[in-house]
Amino acid sequence: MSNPPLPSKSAAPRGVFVLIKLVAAHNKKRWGRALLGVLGIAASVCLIAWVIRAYDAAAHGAPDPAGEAGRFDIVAAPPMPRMMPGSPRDKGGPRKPPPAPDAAAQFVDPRLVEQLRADPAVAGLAANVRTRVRVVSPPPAVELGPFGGGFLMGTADGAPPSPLSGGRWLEAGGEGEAVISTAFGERYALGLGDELTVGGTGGELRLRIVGLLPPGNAGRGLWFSPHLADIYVPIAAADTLNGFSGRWNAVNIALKPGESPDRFVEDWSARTAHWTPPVSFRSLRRQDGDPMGGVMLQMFKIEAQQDTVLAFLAAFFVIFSTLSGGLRERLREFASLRAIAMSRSQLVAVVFLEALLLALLGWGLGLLLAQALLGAGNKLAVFLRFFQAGVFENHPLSRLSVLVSGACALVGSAAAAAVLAWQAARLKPVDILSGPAQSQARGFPRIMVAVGAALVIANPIMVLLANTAPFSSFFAGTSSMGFGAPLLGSGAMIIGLALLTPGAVLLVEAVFGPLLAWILRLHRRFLRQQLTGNLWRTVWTTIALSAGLTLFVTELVWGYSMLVPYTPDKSLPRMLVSILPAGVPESAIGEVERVEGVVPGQCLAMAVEQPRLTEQTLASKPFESVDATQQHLLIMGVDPRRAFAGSAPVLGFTFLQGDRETAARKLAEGRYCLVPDHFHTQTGLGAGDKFSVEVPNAPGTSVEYEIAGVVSVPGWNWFTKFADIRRRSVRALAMVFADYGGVKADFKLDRIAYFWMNVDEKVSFPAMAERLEPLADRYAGVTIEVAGAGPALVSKQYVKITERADLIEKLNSRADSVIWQLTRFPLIALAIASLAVFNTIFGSVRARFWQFGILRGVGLSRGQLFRLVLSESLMIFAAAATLSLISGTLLAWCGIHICTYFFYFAGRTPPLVLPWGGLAVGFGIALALCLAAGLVPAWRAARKEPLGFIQAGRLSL
Amino acid sequence: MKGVEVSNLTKRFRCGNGAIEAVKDVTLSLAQGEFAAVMGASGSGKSTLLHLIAGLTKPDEGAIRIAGIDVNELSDAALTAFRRQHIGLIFQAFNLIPSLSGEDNITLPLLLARARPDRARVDSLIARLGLEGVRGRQPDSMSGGEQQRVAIGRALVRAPRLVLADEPTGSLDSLNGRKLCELFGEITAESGATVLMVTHNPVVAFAASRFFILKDGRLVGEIDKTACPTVQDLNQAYFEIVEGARSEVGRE
Repeated sequence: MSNPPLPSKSAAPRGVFVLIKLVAAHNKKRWGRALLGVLGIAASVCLIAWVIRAYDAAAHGAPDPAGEAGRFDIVAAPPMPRMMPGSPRDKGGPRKPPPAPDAAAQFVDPRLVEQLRADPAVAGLAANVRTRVRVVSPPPAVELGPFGGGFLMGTADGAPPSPLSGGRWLEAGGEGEAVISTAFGERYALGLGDELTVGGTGGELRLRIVGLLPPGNAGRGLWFSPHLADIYVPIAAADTLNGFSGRWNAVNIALKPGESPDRFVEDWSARTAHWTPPVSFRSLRRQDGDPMGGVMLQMFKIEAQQDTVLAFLAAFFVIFSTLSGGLRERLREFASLRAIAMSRSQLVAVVFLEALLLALLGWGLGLLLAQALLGAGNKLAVFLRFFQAGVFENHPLSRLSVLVSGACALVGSAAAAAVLAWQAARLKPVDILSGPAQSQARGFPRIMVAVGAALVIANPIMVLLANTAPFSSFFAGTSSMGFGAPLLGSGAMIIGLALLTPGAVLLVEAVFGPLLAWILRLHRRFLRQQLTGNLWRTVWTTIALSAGLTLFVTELVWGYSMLVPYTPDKSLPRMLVSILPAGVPESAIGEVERVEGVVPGQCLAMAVEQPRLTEQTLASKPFESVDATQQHLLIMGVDPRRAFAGSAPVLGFTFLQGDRETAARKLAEGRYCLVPDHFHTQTGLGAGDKFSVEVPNAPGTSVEYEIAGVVSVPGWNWFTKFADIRRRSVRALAMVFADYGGVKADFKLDRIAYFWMNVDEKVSFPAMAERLEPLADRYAGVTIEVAGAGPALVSKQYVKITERADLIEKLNSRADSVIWQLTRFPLIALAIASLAVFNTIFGSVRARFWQFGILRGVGLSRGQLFRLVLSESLMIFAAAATLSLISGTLLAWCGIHICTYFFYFAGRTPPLVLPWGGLAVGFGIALALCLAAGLVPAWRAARKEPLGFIQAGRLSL
Repeated sequence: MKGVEVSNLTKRFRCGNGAIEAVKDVTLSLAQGEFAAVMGASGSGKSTLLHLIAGLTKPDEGAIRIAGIDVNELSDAALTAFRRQHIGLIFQAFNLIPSLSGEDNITLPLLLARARPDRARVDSLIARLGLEGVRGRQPDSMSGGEQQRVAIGRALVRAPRLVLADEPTGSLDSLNGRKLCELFGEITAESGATVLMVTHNPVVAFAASRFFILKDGRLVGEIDKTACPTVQDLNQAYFEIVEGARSEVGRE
């Protein structure tokens, strides 16, 4: 007898049809499980589509869809100061200090305006001056944070930049008038006809609102939109507020029809490339690019990529657990099919077809869901704090979001199916003899533990090496290898943790099982092998849950740890008083000290300057990691004895090198200083070392300091940022303390604007500001130099107080907001992964029908069965929680150290902080999700009659 | 015509550090169209022998030829196709596909072979097996007898050369079991298929015309039905062989 003939080609479609029929029949019978799988995939697809669409809208720059750029096409303004430091580690070679930011670059060259007017492509032009002002009254209607105020634009333009939403534009000569943006109006609850008082360098002005303008910046912060402002006033009013006139820093340009904005920008950028002060041109017609060089967009892109990967992983695990559960239940069925008539390839095809079916249904449903969410409004876009909600109002799902989400669903399902198809293909027809229980693996290769452990410790080792010579020079380079190594380490750690999961599951079952049995009032023998009875199913589900939970833990631990070096403690006095803009003369210091509420002997007048390090210093080895944004020091001239010595020093710093008395003596003697610990860590300079700084008020001269000690000064950054101390540069490398008299003389300071003081606890800082205001005002009426603008008359002063407790509260509040915003996607991924738990429990119950029937038959009660089924979901939670806490903390620790090497933290290595409260919230959510996932299967199992179990179980035998 | 030839068949299973020989050096042959039963105590290797012949597992030693073809030499794909075409399998635990209807379960081998079902033949088989009432129902709504009849239908739908039945009445009561066996015997006799049935029940085995006795994996005896005209005779002969008194009955 010859071998059976091959099937004809025409029979092939029939063959596929049979397989499709098998898949469809199974999913129709188990429609609940299939629906769960589809929903899980749909949720992941929706997440991915949303994230991609949002990034797509921002990255590709929706061309001004609502005409929000108004009637102007171009804005010419000073280049944005570089605020975000780049990697401080440049490639080797002789180090040349990067160029210092030019303080005079706050305004454009006056020649520019005339030259632009003469350009035949220009139809119209508005030369404006834009400055930041404080709002004296009314108080804000919403919480604004420590800065408040807004951008004020002085303009002579006879028409608004874009159509008003109410009222009228400014009239020529209308001195007390203002037009405000509707966004600003909402912040201060202001409308047409209302009045507000604003204050600037030159004084204060009361303004009446005559017009309302839409915000016009399509979601970007005003910081990045020099052509826009919160408040528009006539140029004369701006001059009064600013104290100077005749300088422009925002030139809005309208082109003639047919002229290309991009070409105009290109031409004028080339023409003014070597001008001093420099000027930048930007097209307003496309909202692409980021004036800060794409850094914010890059960060958004990284966040979007991270979220896409996370959603993809969630989709993969949901698909995998759905298919895996189905496969386990159908082992007998597949073995039967293999025994009867099905080839390996047909069986593999069944697995892939099922995965494809779920993926396609999930993809379609997910896209519909995303579209529905869009239709529900753009409120969800508040997730993206960098941009205002309006950016995404009308932006539909992009082709990219549809394609990437589809690819993720299909690739995820194919990857899951590949693993399961391999398992199915290994089935032998003789497996029909053994039920699912016998074909389940309870063990795992012990080599996994060894390999997993090795991969996990690779990352911390790499982190330690990064700070140890000679390895540190490898990491110090910005080559992709040097930067990629820690990323590889993190990847290895994640893989290692996944490999350790089976061991972790075993451990949790052994340790936690008896405790849970006691809590649930079950015999501990029932919980034995609850997880390891089907180890791999449990492992996959644990990994699925752990993916989101681990990232949650990592972000929380990392975020709150990073906060520590920047949070002030009680070593800094309670209040930092700023008398602005001109300060008080030397003679008034005593008056300040005697203001009611100031603790006697606890007020430090400070002579403050923010000089740049000299070229020679910057070029030296200790400073090779310093880049352009960190070239200035904050020199705080204080009374050394009052500040550091005695029984009640005003500044209670911990000395890491040197001691109080010696430091106080040395500072008083000459040009000695105290530097903060992070400065010492970053530069390696300590007691006895020297550095020099330029004297801003006497160009060409410098001052050299010798370090007398190293102190810990946590939180000085935020204190000084909010106190408007950094007058010459946005950032400062360090806060350094020196002698008051020496600083005043060396830097030629004649007035004192800053006081650090301890104040009676019963006196609030607004009350203190009220007490100081009259004193401050008494010393107004002087002229000060405004960088780049020249002399400005100060007709009114104001007091700004930065209070320690208030600062800490604001910091924590903002940190909470930012950190918890970061955790939204991990929590969503966790919710999606809980579907995997649901599938697992359902599958587990089905696989144990026969067992449950026997147990119920011999006396197990419904309640006991309910608790038994529920216990599996609780143990999965325990395994995932244990794994996530450990892995998340490890990853956070590594991340903290990696950040300090590759991003600017200037020598600060934050301690590891576990925010137990926040972690409890996340774990609580995970526990609730696991409980919810187990409740329905447990309830259904408890309701089933014993015979029902036996009959149903027989079918699966 | 050649039916089944088994020569020196041995199958070992690993157990701890050692191995168990489930089937030891078994040699037997069946002519085409013959109905034989394999009897033995639990653990005697009779099911293993059946699975070896069905190609569900490979022997460690020996050969199996079905209609002259050495099934051990076939690749997995060829063996699957061969099994689909020429072997009908019936199991004690039915092993129906829970998501398919009774009729779909019966025609499954045809569908998987991409062959168009002969409707007349399928309808005739369904009627003969008394399954009209369960054509459209799924296994979880059928009785044990109905499920086993569906399993028989699935085994016979392709008119195989060889039908292998492993304790086909094991899940049924004795009355239904005997009825099923008689029906089974009639249908296979009509089709000319060779039948090898594993059972420990002499009443069920009596439907066959020849009986192979296995003990501890070895073929210890063979009984011809002509020498045992009644079930009691068969039972007695079986026990005598198992206890070592005689190796063949009816062949002296």
